[in-house]
Amino acid sequence: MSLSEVFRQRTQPLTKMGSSFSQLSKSVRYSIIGILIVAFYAAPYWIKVPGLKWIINTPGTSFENVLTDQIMIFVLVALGLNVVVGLAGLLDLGYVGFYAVGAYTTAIITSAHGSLPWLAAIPIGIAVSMVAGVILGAPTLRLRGDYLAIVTLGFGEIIRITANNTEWLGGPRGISNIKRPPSIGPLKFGVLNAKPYWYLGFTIILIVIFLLRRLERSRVGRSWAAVREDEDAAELMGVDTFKFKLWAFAIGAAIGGIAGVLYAGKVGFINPDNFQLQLSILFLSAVVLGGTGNMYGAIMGGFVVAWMPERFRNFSEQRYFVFGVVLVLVMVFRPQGIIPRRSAAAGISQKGESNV
Amino acid sequence: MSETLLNVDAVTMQFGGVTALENVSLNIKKGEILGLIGPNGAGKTTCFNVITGVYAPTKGTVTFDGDSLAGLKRYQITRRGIARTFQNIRLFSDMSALENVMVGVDAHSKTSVLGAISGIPRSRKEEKQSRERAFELLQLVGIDAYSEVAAKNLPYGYQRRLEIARALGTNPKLLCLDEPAAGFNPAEKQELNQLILNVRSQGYTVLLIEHDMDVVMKISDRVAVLDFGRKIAEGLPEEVRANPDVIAAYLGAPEEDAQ
Repeated sequence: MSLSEVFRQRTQPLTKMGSSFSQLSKSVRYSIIGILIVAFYAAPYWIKVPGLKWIINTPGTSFENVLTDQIMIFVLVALGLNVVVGLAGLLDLGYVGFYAVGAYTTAIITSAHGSLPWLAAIPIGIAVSMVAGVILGAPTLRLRGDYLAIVTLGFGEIIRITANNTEWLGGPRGISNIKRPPSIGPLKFGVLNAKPYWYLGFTIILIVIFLLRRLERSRVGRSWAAVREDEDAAELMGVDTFKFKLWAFAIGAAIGGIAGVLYAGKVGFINPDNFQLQLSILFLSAVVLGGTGNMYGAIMGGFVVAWMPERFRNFSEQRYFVFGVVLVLVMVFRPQGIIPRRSAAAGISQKGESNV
Repeated sequence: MSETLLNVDAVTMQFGGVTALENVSLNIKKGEILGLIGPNGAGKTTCFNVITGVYAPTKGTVTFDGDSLAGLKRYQITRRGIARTFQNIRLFSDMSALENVMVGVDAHSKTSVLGAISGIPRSRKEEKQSRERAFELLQLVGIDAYSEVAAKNLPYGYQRRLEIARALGTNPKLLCLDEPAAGFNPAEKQELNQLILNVRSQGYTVLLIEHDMDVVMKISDRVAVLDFGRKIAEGLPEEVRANPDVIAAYLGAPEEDAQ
């Protein structure tokens, strides 16, 4: 048996999960979802579980901090970028720009030029990043494929360079003393304990998943898929392609913005170096690695891409090599990503054939 | 039956120095099947593209249901009631057959992002109606057993049928079929003829581009012939078949072909 066969066998149940999962009764499904949600809320304690500790261990940094500073952010960003790249099929290489807009908005209104509470940064951060998404999208969404990718690449860099060269935005020194989220009862958002940030971030992730599921299973999701599959045909079938592409950009930008708001509230200090081009590439690899077009794949990809470099920190400079090898292996053996897009093909086609 | 649905008036279409259509006029009446034929490169598909708004004509006007189509975007023209299929199949290949048709049906839905996110009753109702309507159309073209199969995994003939169902999903007044019989064997052509006649009997008007004389002559009420971008004949199938210009341009030896 070849390595690829072994790999495929091992991962097969994952791809079929969607269909067999939906065949379970409602109460079973809800209990499984409930247990998963509780398990993920308890993620900061995973490191205390003996066997699990060996796997997820992150030498040098506490797992809590990896969870909040890396994983939480990457999962959110991957969810947002998946709307743009995976659902609507628009290659965006400058997604870090929206993340930066969210973070800088938070920094500006809570520290540098205002003293609003952090909570105000959520709606304002979302609004400003959506506007940024529309400003970038409106003129550029006439472009397709590689050309769009190049323009968005430029956008990400423009945001960073502008921040670097504008005194009002703190210049290269950045902005510090960003306000933290307000305490909720016993949950104190301070420097030492990262757990509350995870509870907050995971709650936001759950809300985003809930809303995206609704979109995906509606006319909007179908229109995105149609644009992705064949833009001209979609337009000739009555899809207002420009409008839906712009919405994809705006929604993706909004989610990237929320990630920025969370990040700024957690670390309390940002500077332009936090928003390097390399992050855009990592964000995109998270989506592609997890499974372009599949929300749960994107989550998985975000998790892996954020966590793996920390897991292999002992390898010091070689850890990115390990990371690269893993990326290549996944792409060789699972070109569609770890959890591929639900393919209408697989399980159900057998049902259709048996009817004939 | 005699009311004009689509009027193509003296349309000229130039690409740089190439004139693909020259002063072409066509008239389609409500409820009829108009066959549009011509040798390769005669401008049939260009004519289609002008009608469906893919190209804006260099000269001339297209009037549909009393209104000029000039300046309308493609999706707006579709919503006005012109739907088409493609010469090379262009389905949304990763989506299921049902979803493909639903995209067409969605053309008249009102639900947008806010409606979908909030899950208001109207959007739920529209979703349900879309699904039901799409399934009806799959039944009409006879592939409802495959509703959950990805379009790319359907057999070729069923893909062609799915294209017709998707176009019908937009609830068109005029259905434009671009070589629907391409690559079909005689039995499949027979079924297709039946399907097109069946569609017409449901009240749709059909514009049919076809290479296959058998199909065109059998089911068209009238036939128009293009050659080198000009319309050289128009009339009943028998008249067109007997027209010397058409014979010269296209049919070659008519007595053998026409049986």
